[in-house]
Amino acid sequence: MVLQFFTIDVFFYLIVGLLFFFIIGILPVVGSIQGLAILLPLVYKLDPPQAFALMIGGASGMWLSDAACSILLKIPGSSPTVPLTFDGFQLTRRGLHGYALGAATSATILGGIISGIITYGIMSVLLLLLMFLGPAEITIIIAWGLIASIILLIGKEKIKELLSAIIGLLLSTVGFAETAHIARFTFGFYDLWDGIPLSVFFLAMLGLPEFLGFLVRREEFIVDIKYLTYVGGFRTREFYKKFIEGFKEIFRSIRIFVQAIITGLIFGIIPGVGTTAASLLAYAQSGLLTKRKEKLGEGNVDGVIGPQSAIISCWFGDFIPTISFGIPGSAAKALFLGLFMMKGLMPGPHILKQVDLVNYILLLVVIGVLLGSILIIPLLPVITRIVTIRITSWVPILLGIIFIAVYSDRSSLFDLFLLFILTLLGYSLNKYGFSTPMVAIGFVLGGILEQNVALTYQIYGLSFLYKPTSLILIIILVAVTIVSLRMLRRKQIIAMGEEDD
Amino acid sequence: MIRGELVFVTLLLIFISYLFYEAIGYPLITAKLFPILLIIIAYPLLLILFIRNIRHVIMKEGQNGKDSRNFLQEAIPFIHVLTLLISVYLLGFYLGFLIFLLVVFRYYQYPLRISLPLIALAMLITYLFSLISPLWDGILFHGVL
Repeated sequence: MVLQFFTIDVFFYLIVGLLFFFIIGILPVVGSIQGLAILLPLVYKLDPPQAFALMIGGASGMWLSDAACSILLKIPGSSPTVPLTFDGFQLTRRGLHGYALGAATSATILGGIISGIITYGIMSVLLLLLMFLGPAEITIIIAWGLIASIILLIGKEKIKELLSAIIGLLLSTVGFAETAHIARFTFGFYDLWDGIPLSVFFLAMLGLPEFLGFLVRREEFIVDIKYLTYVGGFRTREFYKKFIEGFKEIFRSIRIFVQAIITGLIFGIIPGVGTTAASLLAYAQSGLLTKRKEKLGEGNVDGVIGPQSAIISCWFGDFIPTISFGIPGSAAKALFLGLFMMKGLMPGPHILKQVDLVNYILLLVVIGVLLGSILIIPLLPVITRIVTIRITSWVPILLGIIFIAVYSDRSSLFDLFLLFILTLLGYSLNKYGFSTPMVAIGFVLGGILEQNVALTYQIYGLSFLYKPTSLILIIILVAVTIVSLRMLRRKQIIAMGEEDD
Repeated sequence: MIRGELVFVTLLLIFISYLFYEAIGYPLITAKLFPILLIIIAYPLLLILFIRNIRHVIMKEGQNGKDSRNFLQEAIPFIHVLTLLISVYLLGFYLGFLIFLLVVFRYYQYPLRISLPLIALAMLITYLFSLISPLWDGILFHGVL
């Protein structure tokens, strides 16, 4: 039963996770990925339900705090919430921050519940299909997941994307190979026999380069204090009146909401497209479908409802390929996949033995979204003050905490040296236009892919490509890629047209 | 007038060549199949990037040495992290972290009224961590003890 996992401990870790991610959501430098990378070394000693509550539940609750940052301060907490700065901030400037926040809250809560139900339905069907998949089919699906992520990424250099994935896959081969009972690429270090620790890798690729990049560029976010006075205008009767008014607005924009949910879910399921693309396209769709008198960009509340609903449903949709096939669609889901493996939850056919845990995770995401939305509103006046703190003052402390957390994982100083070397690699990759999220996805998939490649090679040789199930799967996956590509192109054109307008 | 990307791609080429050399030496096919397959795909892609960068340098479309001029400024945060690493290794987490914070806050010219509470906060966090798992004492302290 799913309910057996929901103990008091789990709720404690969920609340701690939510508070942590509220701050992460508000801080402009760090997004959910950096927050997750920091938490990863800390959850080694926790039980799976507690670790999932802290990381997955916590991260799911941060989207409204992220949106609040964009709406109130015009500083997007992370890239998907950029469209919220257009209309959300216009409403704040007119003193209607309660109204905009109400609309964002309803989009988050309703979007979370509906996307959760749909995700659960799709997952139930997929789990049944998983019984028919062998190593050959899993190899094909994972390889497709990687290739599709590269093909479908918009506006990136494909060669560098592919190389990034290969670098991640190659780094995953470091350590003792179970398929061959031999230690590979350890360079004489016994500490590398267990491979590169997941927490060190994620921090080095997704966490530290981002922080150091800000220190290198010496960027500081100047927050105009007059906008913070709006934030001060909380807890008043006027604020709550506007908040409830904004909350009800979703029922007047039901078409935009449904369209955004569908876009978000599809974009979540297709690997590599990502939440940012979903929210931008939902914003463009809102422009086409809106019936309000204000134009988009001039404080139209549909410009808040559309993107926020798409962000939430994309977050849910992304769980479908991650849990069922082990194909993470984004860096955050690659981190979750790493967490699943660390806690003994293997995606693919193995997951059928742990259906309860899968249901627990999905329910946790819904609870995280709902609890996060309820808790953030009273905490906003305190939390938004955090953006006024200079980046250079909290990054050094964060660095120290990261060092301590990494050390306490295995009580090994070697991990700290490894972190430094890999951070140099991660920073250089970032700087020269390679994709560190693709490196992370490649790294997580490497182990599963190699195991399945070895098994497939031993059982079928190269003839696995001629198996009927393999052929059908290849045809379906190619068709899905072509359809997605066409859909993306069309929507890109719409989005570009909107931008021109 | 060296383009940073050219140096990075060259280093990657050398590193991948070394991995290829090592992978070839593994006795079992299951050990070498996967890495060799990956390296074979990576090689032409790296060569394309390498040639593209060389062409940029020859055509002087690169950043005209901007990379090398900014190198020192760019390296400073990494030097700070290295300071943390070395001081933690030598002195342990408490003193190492303290020295690192003093160096960084001095570099960013924070007044004492800001840096002292922040350092106190950092030390408190370190202490709380030490309650969960034992922290490194540092080689100097090991020597004294």
